[in-house]
Amino acid sequence: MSANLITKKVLMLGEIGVGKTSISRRLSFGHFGDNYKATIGVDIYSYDVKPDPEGIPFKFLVWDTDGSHGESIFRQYFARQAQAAMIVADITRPSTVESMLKLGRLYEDVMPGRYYAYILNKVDLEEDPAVSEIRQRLIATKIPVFQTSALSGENVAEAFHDAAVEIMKLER
Amino acid sequence: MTKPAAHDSHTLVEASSFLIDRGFCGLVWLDEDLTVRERAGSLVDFVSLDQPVGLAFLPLFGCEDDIRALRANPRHRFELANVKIVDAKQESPRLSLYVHWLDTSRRFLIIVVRTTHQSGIEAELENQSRRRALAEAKSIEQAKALEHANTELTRVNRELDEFANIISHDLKSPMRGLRYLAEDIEQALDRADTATAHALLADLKQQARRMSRMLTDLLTYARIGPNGEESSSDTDTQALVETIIASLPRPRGFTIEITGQWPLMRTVSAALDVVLRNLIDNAIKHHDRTDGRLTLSARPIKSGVEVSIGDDGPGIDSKYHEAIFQPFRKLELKPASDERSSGIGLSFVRKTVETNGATLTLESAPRERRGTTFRLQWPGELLVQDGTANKP
Ligand SMILES: Nc1nc2c(ncn2[C@@H]2O[C@H](COP(=O)(O)OP(=O)(O)O)[C@@H](O)[C@H]2O)c(=O)[nH]1
Ligand SMILES: [Mg+2]
Repeated sequence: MSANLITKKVLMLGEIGVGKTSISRRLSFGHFGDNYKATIGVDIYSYDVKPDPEGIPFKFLVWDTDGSHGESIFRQYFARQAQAAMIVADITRPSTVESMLKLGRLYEDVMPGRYYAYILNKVDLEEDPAVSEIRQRLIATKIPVFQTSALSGENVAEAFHDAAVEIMKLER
Repeated sequence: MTKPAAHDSHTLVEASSFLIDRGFCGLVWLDEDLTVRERAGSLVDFVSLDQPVGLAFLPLFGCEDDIRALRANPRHRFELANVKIVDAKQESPRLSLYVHWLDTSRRFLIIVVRTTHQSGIEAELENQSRRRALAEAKSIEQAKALEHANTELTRVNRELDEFANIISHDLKSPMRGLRYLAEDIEQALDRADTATAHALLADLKQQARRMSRMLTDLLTYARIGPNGEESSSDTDTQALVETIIASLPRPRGFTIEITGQWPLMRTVSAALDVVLRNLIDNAIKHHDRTDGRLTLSARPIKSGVEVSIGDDGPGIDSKYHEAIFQPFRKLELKPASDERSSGIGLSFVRKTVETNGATLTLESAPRERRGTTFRLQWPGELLVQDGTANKP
């Protein structure tokens, strides 16, 4: 294993059914399946970011948890050890976007200074108008917002690449 | 398999060996600097020796400080429940980890237990709440789909009604005609008037041919549905309209002028062809003079092109503006060549227009002045904003 390898732990957060597992699997296996069982506890995926940010090999350990932890997730050991979080919502369900924002604020409180980003998933489906409105406002903030589809793969690898680059910047 | 260190109690060794051998649990020892030194059991085969624990055993990556802290509190343990390392190549079991500090041997011991979440009531609850959440989400989506299906259904129903009308009004009378002809032939034959019978048979054949043409057109009309698989392509609208004009017969003195800006755009050109062809053909056929004049002009609009097709024919009375779009209605307007037309052209046009999200309006006020203008707004993605202006 290269001495220069950077490994970071990233949490997948967000409500049940928004696509956390689908994104994780798309990321590390490159395909999409349907109907995964609930993620009881934590599923750990590893993903080598390509191309290497700044020429340095970068590995993400993606911690896919289930949404029903809700906000208590931050009290768990494993969450406190994470260096980053990807907070996911489903663009067809406005309520999941609300929870995403809530989790984002909470993450910032509990783990200030760490990287997190919002993922608006399922862009292959029609966006709920209420979500479009929130999205417009979100994009104007400094928190990164990615619009992905685990189904088509659109923007998934790009989101994690961007995250890796930003995390490296934060540490300098 | 490596045996636990000798100074751990014999009973413990016996008990753990039992569980280890059956794959229920595995043990991993770390030295004080958290390097993996020993392991026991197939459950932890994947944990590589002599590596820092965070790299050898991914679930513990990032937990190093928590593990080190155990030395200060030997009674505590660090746990991580229900973790699974997901690998594309193999299905691995879900594990729970318990890390202890063994003060006597100055080592950390990780007890790794296989968890089968199917048995846990907690897991069942999680699965249930997940199913509920997903079902709720689905039902919202389905409500939306249902709404869409409803409007679609209403539209289809309306069309079916139209069809029923067409069938009853427009196919019934030629059918009746056929029956009368057959009766006349019968009577002629009874009289042994074969000459009349032959003439009537010729009529009957022609009538049958006409009906078969109507049916073919009706079927074509019925098949252009919203699911027509035509796809968009880059289309030079000017070339398209020129090709149409070249292919349509018209009286020698009839003039057609093309003006305005005909854009290049990405659109369903086969459908646009159908619409323009029928509108132009219609204007030529229904003109009452052989020296008629047709003006085709276009301009790019925000979401496509607007084409107007204006003739200087007799015009269409406003009470017929709706009726001309019904199949088989030819009103009092007599096409120049009856044989070619079943009267389905404009209904075909309307259906194509609706299917493609275009709009078509008609201006004509024969009481005030001659002429009819059809105005078509056809959607497409403009490729060049300023299409070339043109001469005929
Ligand atoms: N259309 C579409 N469906 C998706 C997408 N991502 C996930 N899904 C579906 O959404 C449901 C929940 O996905 P899952 O990954 O299990 O969500 P999780 O509970 O957040 O882990 C599943 O039926 C997935 O197939 C996507 O990008 N597009
Ligand atoms: Mg999941």
